[in-house]
Amino acid sequence: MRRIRVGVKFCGHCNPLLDGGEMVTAAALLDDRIDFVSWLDPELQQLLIVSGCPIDCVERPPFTGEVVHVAGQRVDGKMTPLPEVPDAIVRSILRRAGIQG
Amino acid sequence: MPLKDGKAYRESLQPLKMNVYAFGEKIENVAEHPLFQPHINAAALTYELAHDPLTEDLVTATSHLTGLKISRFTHIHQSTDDLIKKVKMLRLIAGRTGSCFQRCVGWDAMNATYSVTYEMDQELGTGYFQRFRNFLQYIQENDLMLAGAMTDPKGDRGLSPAKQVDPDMFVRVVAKNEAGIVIRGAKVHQTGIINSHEMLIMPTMAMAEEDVDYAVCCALPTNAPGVIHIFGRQTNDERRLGGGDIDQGNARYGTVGGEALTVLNDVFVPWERVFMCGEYQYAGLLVERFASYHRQNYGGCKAGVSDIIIGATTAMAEYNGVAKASHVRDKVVEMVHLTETLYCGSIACSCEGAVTPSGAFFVNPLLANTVKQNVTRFIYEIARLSHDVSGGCIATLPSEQDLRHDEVGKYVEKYFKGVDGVPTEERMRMARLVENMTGGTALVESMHGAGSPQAQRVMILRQANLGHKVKLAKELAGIKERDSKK
Ligand SMILES: Cc1cc2nc3c(=O)[nH]c(=O)nc-3n(C[C@H](O)[C@H](O)[C@H](O)COP(=O)(O)OP(=O)(O)OC[C@H]3O[C@@H](n4cnc5c(N)ncnc54)[C@H](O)[C@@H]3O)c2cc1C
Repeated sequence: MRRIRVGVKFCGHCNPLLDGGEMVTAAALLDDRIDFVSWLDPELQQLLIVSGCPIDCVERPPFTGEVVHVAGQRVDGKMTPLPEVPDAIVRSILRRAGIQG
Repeated sequence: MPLKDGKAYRESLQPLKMNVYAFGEKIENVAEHPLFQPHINAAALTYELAHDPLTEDLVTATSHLTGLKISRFTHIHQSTDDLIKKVKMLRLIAGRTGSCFQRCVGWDAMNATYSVTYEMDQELGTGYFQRFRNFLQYIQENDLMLAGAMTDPKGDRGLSPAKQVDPDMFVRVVAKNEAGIVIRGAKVHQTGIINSHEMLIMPTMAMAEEDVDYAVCCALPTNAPGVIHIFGRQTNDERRLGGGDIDQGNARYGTVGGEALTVLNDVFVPWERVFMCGEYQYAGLLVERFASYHRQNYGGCKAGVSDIIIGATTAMAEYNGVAKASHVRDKVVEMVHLTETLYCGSIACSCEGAVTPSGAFFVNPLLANTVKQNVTRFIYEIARLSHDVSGGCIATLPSEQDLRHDEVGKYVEKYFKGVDGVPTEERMRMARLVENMTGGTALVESMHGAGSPQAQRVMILRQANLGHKVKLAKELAGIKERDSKK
């Protein structure tokens, strides 16, 4: 099966409630069908925006595909307990790719 | 040229071979001398973070000159969003270094010079703006670090530049020819200058016609012939020169920015690097622009520094077994409140920024000056609360050598222990961090950096719109405006 290339764009993390780097590292360990790469990668299938807090000031790169969005403890707008954030990221990516988790 | 990383930045310092003195000696290799390492490390981190996916959104920007990705520290603010990102970036980096990372002074100098040269050209028909754009592009393309050189020695503070007994108390133009100008004098308290590539000289205050030779703004390399840097001492700086890392408190990044007295002994500056030469009417505007940009910063970087002080204080309370005491929790709350109040001010003056005729954005100067005024008090209060909660050991701890000593080490270990489960060494490390960040040189920066409190009060009064306030009061008090013609 072709792997899903997901470009990650972090906010800058000036005063984060969540460590986006740790969350993405943990998410990467949960499902080996997903490749987390730089948002500058030319062959992205999805974009993952990770803001460390709900202010969510990150600059959105131009992208027309599916966007998964983490802002503080909200994953795609839904409040998520911290330990469950990586799993919620993975489920959102798979759902957008049309794959059952 | 791509964005430098920390390694490339360090390497770029090697060939500069600046004329630097410290502790009565000429320093042959600044880039490798232990006295300067913490400051170089802090500046290098600003280069590193531009490459870190987690932080690059704040630490880089898109050049309005070239459309290329550049360090935000060389960017001219194009929107209020840029101004806000500046504050957030400063908080981010200060939260990593716990000390000054030096690049904001030159950045603010560039933003101020950019908009003021544009306005000067519009009114006086000079050609400074394009020159400055060329210089800026050079800085951006080579990702250089620039020191912001404003403060003159000033001699007798009661006298203007032209009236000083010694005419060198303010930097002045002593000669001009077809190729350029020659400047003489000195700049004091120069943050990060011994590990910067360039310096941007600006006048220190508003000037009158008699001060025409002192109205000078220009850029020069930090290693230009005739430039001598004499490095300033800092609290406990000799702890860097041996004896382990604990006693330094923050061995990696030190304290404040590493300041120097920079002497300018008849230094030649070519015309293409001269951005004001005799236009004394614009000296005041340049100072005000620079000062307001610079005062904006302090609720960002000092919030980041305070984040660490609050963390260290909370840890000390835990190590001492008092973390749950209600007065301790309340003191920590107060520290957070003061920190976030500073941050509020910096964010607010950025949100209320406005465009200048050059297209660059400028902060709300009233709010920016208010932030810095608060910094001159709140940081002292935060330090006071930290001292209170952390305990007297921050002032009386024996040295790291005593902790490691064959005979007496066991006593230091035993009698400086706090709660069970926390090694004495960890308590000592945290106490030293508090000591480093809350005393001496670290505090003075909050008082005088970006101008002494009175300098802000002068600007606050000027921007206060008192007439409007009186009008509001009269309206409510039922006092009718008198016809001034009668
Ligand atoms: C850690 C640190 C880093 C710094 N970094 C830089 C830098 O990178 N670049 C740079 O250019 N500058 C830098 N500065 C300089 C800073 O802007 C000055 O310290 C500040 O403007 C005050 O000037 P001063 O130190 O000469 O103090 P003074 O001007 O001597 O002030 C002492 C007191 O005298 C009062 N005073 C001064 N003049 C008058 C007057 N005419 N009438 C009445 N009262 C007066 C002041 O209000 C104050 O209360 C730095 C300072 C510090 C402490």
